[in-house]
Amino acid sequence: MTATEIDSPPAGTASAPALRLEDVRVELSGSSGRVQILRGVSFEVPRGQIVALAGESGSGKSTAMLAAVRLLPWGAGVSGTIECQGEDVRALSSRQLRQFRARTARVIFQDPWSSLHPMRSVGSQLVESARSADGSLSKAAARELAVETLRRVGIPDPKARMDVYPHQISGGQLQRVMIAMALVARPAVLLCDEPTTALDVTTQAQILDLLRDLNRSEGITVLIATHDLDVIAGIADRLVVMYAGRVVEDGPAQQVLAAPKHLYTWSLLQAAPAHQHESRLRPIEGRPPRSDENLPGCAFAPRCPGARDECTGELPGLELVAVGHRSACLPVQQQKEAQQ
Amino acid sequence: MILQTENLEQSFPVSGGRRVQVLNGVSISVNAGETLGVVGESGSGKTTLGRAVMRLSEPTGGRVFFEGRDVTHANSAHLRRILRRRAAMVFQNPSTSLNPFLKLVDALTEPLAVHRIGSRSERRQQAYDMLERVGLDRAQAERYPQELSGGQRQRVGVARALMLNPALVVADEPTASLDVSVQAQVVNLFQDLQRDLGLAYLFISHDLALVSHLSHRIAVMYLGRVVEIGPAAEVFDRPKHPYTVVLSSMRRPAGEQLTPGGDPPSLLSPPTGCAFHPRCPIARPVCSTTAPELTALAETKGHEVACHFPGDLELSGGLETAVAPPPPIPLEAVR
Repeated sequence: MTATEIDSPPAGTASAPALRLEDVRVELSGSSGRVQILRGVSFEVPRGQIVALAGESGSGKSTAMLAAVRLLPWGAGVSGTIECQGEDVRALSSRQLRQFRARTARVIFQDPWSSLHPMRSVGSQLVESARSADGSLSKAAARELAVETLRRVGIPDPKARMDVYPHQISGGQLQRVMIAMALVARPAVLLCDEPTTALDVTTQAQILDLLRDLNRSEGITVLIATHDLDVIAGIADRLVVMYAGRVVEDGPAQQVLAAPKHLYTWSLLQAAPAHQHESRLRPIEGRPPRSDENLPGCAFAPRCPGARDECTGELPGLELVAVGHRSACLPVQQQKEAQQ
Repeated sequence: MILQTENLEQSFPVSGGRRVQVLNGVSISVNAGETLGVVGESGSGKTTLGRAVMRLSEPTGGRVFFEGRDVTHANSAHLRRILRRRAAMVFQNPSTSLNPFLKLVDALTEPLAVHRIGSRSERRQQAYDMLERVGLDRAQAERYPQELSGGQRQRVGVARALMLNPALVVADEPTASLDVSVQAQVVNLFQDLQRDLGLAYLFISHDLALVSHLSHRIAVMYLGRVVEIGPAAEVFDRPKHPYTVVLSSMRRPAGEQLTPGGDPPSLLSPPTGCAFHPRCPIARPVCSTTAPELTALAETKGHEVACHFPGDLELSGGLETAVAPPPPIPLEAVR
């Protein structure tokens, strides 16, 4: 990062953000030709913060996360800037990339059952993970680190747990093991793709508590992709809302939830039964655009309760509408201008 | 009363000649036009309950009554005449529960054909009417399931369940595979159909907020037993069983949530006494030795709790803080 950067980082963190995406576009080959999955995504994950990347299925949240560690399928067309811990992720050689994924940015997937090797003990997978990040680690030291990390993520009797196989422990424990596997590498950034969706409600809360605890005590930067705004409401510092391959709103989590500045975020919050005392829910009519549909204006306009004529014609950019709070909603931007 | 179970038990064989007891004496009832919501985590037995009352499995103990008749061990011909005509099921994943090789019209007329109702053209007409009823266009009748979006597919799943004009619909996590914005559409459809057709629902879900939204009564299940049952508002807003209190607290800000320690117990080695005691914040010695019976509470009619110390664990604040109000619309012109 150079001194020419315009947006100065918030006070206290004198360094560049842990992760920065700028105008990232991703194209994948589908049955109907090339489809745009990401249509110019820009957001930042400040160091030491928890950022939630929220959106419905097809919004591109997982793609954005996978693009950040170059885990997209073969043949994906990527453009734009992706920087993680000051490194240009798109320019890494395959050798550097392996180091980057082992040490700097670790990914935790939705389904712990399919993320672990079913035929190898939990311990041996932890040891492998630790040694891949730090080649100078002896087997014994790696084992010690693994036991310590299992204890850190709240696994009871960690020594004995080293020898069990993934099928012998519950989903919640398994997700803790996944987090431990990431932690043994002492990564700077933890990328979690729907880390609690496959888990029960009470277990979900335990895992989120653990992530917050790790963030607070060890300063690990966390990015969580989620479809459920309410689940991450309690733990995220910032919220990035995506719709149809673009960021539509980005701001401090509590502020976005209490006073959303995009009609999509607002509609989504309205639709959740947790926020509805009335006898009927307020759904968002229609459905999100397909990835092969190209709308000239705001992608949400056809379903939007506040859409105006100009919304369908012109694509709104992400603009500041409040302190640290950006929105890509044209009527909201116009309202803000009128107030000034 | 449409549906009633008495001490329903269901066990399945597992390796080593053992059996796993999934339902352990479940007694519930569903009245005409009523929604009974069943809430529980994985392994609680909620799905098994739905399948057992639909007689997709044969109960190993207890009784199931449907419209007053005992169907616990009814044979298939008998079942077809009573239960299968008058009760239907909506499954979790419409992408796998609809036959990908059947056009919608054929998927919808199939139940009528099985039960030899109407002529071919009458059946088709009914299918068209039902599509419109669930908010789809009749022109879509000639389409295949994969041509529809997830929300539209689940509408078809609902339409198919309704073709025989049932008295009871068992819905097992019908919106779990849908996005929040589309989930609300399907939930509203369920409510509209109940109002118009007088349907009774057994609505199974892990989502307490959703269940409390559309249920008249709620049964909370834990490890094969009903631990709390009662009017929806009571169970949701003034829960008396510590497990329900814990579930209910999940809607609150992170700092106010009661996160239980430990994991959900395994059905293969259930805890002694009350199944929740290893995770319960207020467990006392008696809880680990004696399983509490489901007992009616004196203060509210129809509210039953299986706990030695009902109401000892409470959420502070109560009703008002329970549901976070939706935020204001960001636009003044629309407000």
